[in-house]
Amino acid sequence: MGRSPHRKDIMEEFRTMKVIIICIRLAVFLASPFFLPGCVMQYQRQYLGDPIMLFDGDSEEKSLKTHIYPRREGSSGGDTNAGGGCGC
Amino acid sequence: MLKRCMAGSILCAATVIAFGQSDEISYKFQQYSDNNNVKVSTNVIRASKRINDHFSLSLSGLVDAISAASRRDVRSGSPLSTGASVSLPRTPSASVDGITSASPTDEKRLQPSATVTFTNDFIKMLSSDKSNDDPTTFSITGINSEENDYTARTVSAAISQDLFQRNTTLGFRFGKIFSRYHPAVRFVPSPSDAGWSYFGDGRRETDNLSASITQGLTTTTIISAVAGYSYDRGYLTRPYNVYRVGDQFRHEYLPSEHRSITFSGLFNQYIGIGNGMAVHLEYRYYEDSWEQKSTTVGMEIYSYIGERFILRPSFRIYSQSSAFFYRDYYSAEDRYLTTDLKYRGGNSYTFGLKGSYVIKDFVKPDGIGFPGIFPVAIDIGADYYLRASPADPQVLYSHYNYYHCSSEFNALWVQSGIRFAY
Repeated sequence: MGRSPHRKDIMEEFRTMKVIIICIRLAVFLASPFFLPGCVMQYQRQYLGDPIMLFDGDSEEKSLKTHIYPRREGSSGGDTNAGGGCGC
Repeated sequence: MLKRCMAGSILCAATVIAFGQSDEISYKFQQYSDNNNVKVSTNVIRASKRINDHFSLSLSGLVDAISAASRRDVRSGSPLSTGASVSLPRTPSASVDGITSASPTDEKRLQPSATVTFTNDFIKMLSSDKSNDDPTTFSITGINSEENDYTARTVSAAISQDLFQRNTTLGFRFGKIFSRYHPAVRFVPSPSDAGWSYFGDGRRETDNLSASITQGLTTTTIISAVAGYSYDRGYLTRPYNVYRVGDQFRHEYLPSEHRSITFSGLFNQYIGIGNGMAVHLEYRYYEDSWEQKSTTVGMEIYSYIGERFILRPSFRIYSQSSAFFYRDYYSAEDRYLTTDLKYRGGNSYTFGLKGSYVIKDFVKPDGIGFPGIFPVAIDIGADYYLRASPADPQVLYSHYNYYHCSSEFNALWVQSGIRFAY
């Protein structure tokens, strides 16, 4: 029992719509910061500037950990840290 | 050795020259040990100097010493039929270093690096609004890593742009790593190894590309998203990993190309309890062309104890699927084979605790410390790593013949550091 041409067209249209929706979601996500300008003014950032709120407060610690995990776990690469050396 | 000493001397001299007023110098020590008798001591020194309003320079030097009960050269042992029941040899005399045939392994890694950063507010220059504060930052980093059998040279460039009065930061980074194994002749794979012969001599090249966005959402919440892509090609395995299939010995053999993508989300929330707390949440998704998928979830909780002491417990859960070529037991028909259990599916957990003492309002005391150099922060922390889905001893034996490897892998590393300022 094959699918009718009409049903096939509907399925293809559905797939196209799905791709378009994913593209729109991605575009909205990437553009979202441009809709959020100035939502936190500079004088309101005393907490965001606290040392305990920094993403990279101790870069040496992060760098050393980044060197340990890839030796024990297979999912290495694709990170922001560009490092050298095997150390194994 | 002379080359390393010269590099170290140049680095130290450059560090002293680079150090100046309002600049920082830091030192970090890490001691790693695991239940496979691997011990690594790492020392990192870093100095940064602001040269003028636009340029800054950062220099660092890393030295680590590795000692381990190394993998024994499996070819010196008697053939073992796959699946036979044996006990793991654990006597120290059974270990032979992969390079020198001495025991145990004792290697050193020297890794100097330098970063030049340029910052300028181009938006302010182009805009009529001179109160604008959205700088653009360019940085270039070079890293040279040397071991007795491995070299890696890294160059990377990054650009970040602040927007909306520093409310948003967009970042892009590109890095390229050139690395190469140069093992003893008896460990060099045959020319039929596609990875070894990819560039002709066991070289490997890696491209890393990432894009990030950081957004302040509220006065107490900041988030960041990072997408990364990595492409490795060339010799992607280790020459000392030899596997026995029946009475045949084969080098570990992996595909010569590897592509991976990652998506990370970071969420930091400040909580006004006590003297202040912050919760950091991290999620990372990874997928690669070797059919590995992994998920990492991490959490760190920072708490001020008093005004200067910060306590930070942390927890990390990692879960991954096996690479398509991974087998617990290989047959002669298998094209690819690995002896590395990191390509086997499983979970791991990391528990950490760190304490930092921050001297925020330091007043220069007379006659204390080195002339003009004073401590501003001290920290100490420890992490315990546990692989929760261990392979059974028979699998370990088939992968690690004559290698001291425990079925329940765990590791502990302790870090301590001190930061100075003028």
